[in-house]
Amino acid sequence: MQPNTLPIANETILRHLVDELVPGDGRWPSASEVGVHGVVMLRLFGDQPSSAIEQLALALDCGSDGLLNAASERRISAVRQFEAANPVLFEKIYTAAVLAYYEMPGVVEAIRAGGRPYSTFPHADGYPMPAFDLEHDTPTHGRGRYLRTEDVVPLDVSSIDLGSATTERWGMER
Amino acid sequence: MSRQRICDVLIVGAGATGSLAALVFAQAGLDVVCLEQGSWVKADDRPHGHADWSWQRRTRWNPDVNKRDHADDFPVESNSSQVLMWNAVGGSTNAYGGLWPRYRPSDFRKGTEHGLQPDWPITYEDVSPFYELADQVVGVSGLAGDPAMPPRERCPTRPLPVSDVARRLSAGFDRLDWHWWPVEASVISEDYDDRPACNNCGVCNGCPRSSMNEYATSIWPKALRAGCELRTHARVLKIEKGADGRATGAYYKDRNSGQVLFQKARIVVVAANGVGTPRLLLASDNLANGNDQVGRNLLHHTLVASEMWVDRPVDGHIGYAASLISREFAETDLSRGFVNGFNLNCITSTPSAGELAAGWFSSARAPWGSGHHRWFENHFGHSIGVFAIGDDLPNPENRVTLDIRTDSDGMPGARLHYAPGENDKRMMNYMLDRLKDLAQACDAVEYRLQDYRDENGVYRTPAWHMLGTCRMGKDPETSVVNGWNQSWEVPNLFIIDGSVLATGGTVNPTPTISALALRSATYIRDNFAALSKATSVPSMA
Repeated sequence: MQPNTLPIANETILRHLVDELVPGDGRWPSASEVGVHGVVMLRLFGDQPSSAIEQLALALDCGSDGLLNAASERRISAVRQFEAANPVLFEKIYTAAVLAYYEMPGVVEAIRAGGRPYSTFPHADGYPMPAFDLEHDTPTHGRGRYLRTEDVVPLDVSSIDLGSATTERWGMER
Repeated sequence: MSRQRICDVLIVGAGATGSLAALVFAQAGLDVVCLEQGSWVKADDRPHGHADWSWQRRTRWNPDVNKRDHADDFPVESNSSQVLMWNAVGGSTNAYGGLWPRYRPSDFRKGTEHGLQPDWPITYEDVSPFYELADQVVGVSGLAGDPAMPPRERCPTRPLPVSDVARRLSAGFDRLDWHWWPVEASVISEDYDDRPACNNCGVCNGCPRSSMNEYATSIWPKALRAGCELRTHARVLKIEKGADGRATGAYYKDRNSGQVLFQKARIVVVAANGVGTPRLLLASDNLANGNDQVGRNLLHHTLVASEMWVDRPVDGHIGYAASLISREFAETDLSRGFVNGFNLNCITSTPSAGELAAGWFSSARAPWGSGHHRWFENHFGHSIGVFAIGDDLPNPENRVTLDIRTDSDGMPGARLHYAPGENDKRMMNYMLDRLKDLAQACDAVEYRLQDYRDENGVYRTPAWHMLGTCRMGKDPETSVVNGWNQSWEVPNLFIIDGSVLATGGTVNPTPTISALALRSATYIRDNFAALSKATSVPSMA
């Protein structure tokens, strides 16, 4: 696959966008400071024609008063409008940006600086944890029961009326 | 097509059950051939050692077959739950989480209990010795003595380390006076069988270290040393049946050369999972399906979840993916308004900071913009996930059929239809309320519930279990195999994967599927001579 060579303008679009999504503050780097825009470009747009970025720029109103505006309120507004008008694409970009952000060594360092153990490659070294102590960690509550095979008896399910009663609202609607 | 020898046993599928059967047969000196449409998964293929492992878990390493777009997969069209499937040596254990709880005795007796599911033709006691064998063979961690389960032998290794998540949850369970127990897992806490102990990395979908059992690394090497012949990139297109009603072997495509070959066999064992097996039988001129049961009664389990955040850090991103299991609600209690029960599988948290921030168990995620970092600081290291997983009722219209889309070799894909029924909905409503109770008992500062319904109300669980589609039974009219996993209609055809489960139970199915596979393989081994010639099938196991 040929590397997708971006015109400078396209790189600028993604850089500004990811910095609105994950801005920097005193403790955390901005997304572009750690290169998130390049990763998003490769992962989401690497196999697509350059017109995909151009359409993104249009959606973010880069040509006039949107994402590239000096005023942060304008930029935020442009991203909000993009999110509302293109929810699926926005979701893809935001997810890709966030996953990429927390892969970056500089961000991992910021996590550790906050007091949480964290590894870029946890599988390599793992994390230390004390072994299960059979004497002290074994539950002592004594709760729990099970039916033995011979204890299973027929139940009268007519009381729960599964045949005619219908649950209209279930799940989060309940 | 080239001439092939007649092997003693032909196994279709090199996943968990195919590997166990291969081991049993090969160790007995039988001539065994296993055909696997996929290939070996190399250590470097796995995301674990790469900086972008979080991204890969969502893309090329996604447990959902439809999100991976891998050449070894076949299309699966599902109008609801997403499908956990991995077409490779080791099967779905290349990407599973390794939870290892057993069925309970009542799971085999639902016909007696309420009649809305069938009784199995076998009992917990028939399977129990093979649960023990499976635990020893694959390497399991856990703790005997759970009063909510029948007695068992000591687990090969002790439970995995107690995490701060487990301590927080157990305090909540104690406050509610609910059962809890350390989770059983096919993840070893100590060095075992030349495999290293778990290092608590938390990236528990498959394991390049082999601390989590993956049949490709724990069983297949032994089966190969014992003499089994494994052919990869060998996609079975059709199982053939002779005029005497016996299976004669299978046509398969050598995906490397493009040749279509035929492997003759005295006995054919299908181990292609709850979707792949009915797909193959239906595509084999409706093999073993005179009663129109193949593909029907698809079971997934009911599933809802909660994600909670607690005040003090619990660092759920480290340690094995699961912590505790609660069997408080595992048995039927009609006062709840439904039959069957459910368990609470307590997850630690995602090992990935990015996954948590982008949205993990629930709709909660870090907002974009100026609030992002504050959200992350308050949530990372403070999160706990809990699944409620229950026994769904069978519905013959929940089923696997053939799709018009084909795989890369022209074989029809699979189409799934599943919709939860009335009992399932009542159960899930109750489960959500209990998850809320647990979050409050744990003094969660925030919690979110998850019912896995999309914006249109369709129930779409994440990559998930597929069971029941060639179920075991006493009655040839309502089941596909007998108590030995033997097809009622084709005497030398056996099915040993999750499609034979007659009920889903309240737990992850791999231990039960593995135990049943060992039991069936042992039966085939011990009765090989008779089964090689049998032209009828016993009516009872």
